[in-house]
Amino acid sequence: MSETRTILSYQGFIEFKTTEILLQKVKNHLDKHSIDKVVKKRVYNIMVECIENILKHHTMDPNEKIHPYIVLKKKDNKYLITTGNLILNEEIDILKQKLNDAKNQDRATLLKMYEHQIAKEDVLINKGAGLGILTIALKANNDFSYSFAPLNKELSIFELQVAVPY
Amino acid sequence: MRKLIIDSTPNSPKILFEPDTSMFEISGESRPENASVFYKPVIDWVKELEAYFKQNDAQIYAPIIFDFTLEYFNSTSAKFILDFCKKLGHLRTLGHPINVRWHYEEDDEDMLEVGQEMSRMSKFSFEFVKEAIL
Repeated sequence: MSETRTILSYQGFIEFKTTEILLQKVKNHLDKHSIDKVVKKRVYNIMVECIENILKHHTMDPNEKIHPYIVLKKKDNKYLITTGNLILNEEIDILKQKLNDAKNQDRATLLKMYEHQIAKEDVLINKGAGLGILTIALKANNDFSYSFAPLNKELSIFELQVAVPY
Repeated sequence: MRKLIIDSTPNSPKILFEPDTSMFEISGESRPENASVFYKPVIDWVKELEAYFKQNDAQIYAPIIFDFTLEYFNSTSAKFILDFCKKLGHLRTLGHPINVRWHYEEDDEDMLEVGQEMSRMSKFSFEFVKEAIL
């Protein structure tokens, strides 16, 4: 039977200061366990992009009951990164399109999409350069899945799970 | 050519552009809270470099070597690092003596690959320097 080990599990309010604490914990774990440098940096890289995605795109729960979450686990020779956050239902189609576009491509096409996106002039100050999903797809060799769980008429929970083999 | 020095923090790189000592380096980790604010002085500096070349072209003989020794950078920083490299590439196509040395640790093939992508996208041939792990 495969063993699952939780390295990090956080659910709560996320601001830039929080990301520093979470990332330091991840770094400490990765530094302590002598794994391959490429794996170590891919996990870190994906964690950063996932946390920044939450920071930039999550919608606050008006009742302040549902908070974003981020979990890092080791299972079946893989690191599994899971994030969840609230999203406005009206934003789901656009995000789904971006995720599908990245999910179904080979590496060469992903690199072309990355090059196209990075060459765009506009960087939205609070929304980044639009490269997060493509970076995750490239670093995880497209091993990611996602779901949208409807909460009510306005909101859903968006969950993203990314795997990095080691 | 003026100097630009920005100390590193846990989430932003060290910027050391020091004409007096011929040291031009970007090193460390780059995931600042606001990459656009962090990289503005860096992009402004390279714009000024172009103006400086226009005024002092005949006096510059020694190549200016930019050393990139980045441990990690996030996707938004990548956008600004590429913009910076594109501007350097543009100066080189104008005939100015500019080189980029992209450093990577010998067991970090992703950092090499991302440097090769940066070089290709900025249409500027980098020198790749493999660093031994001690």
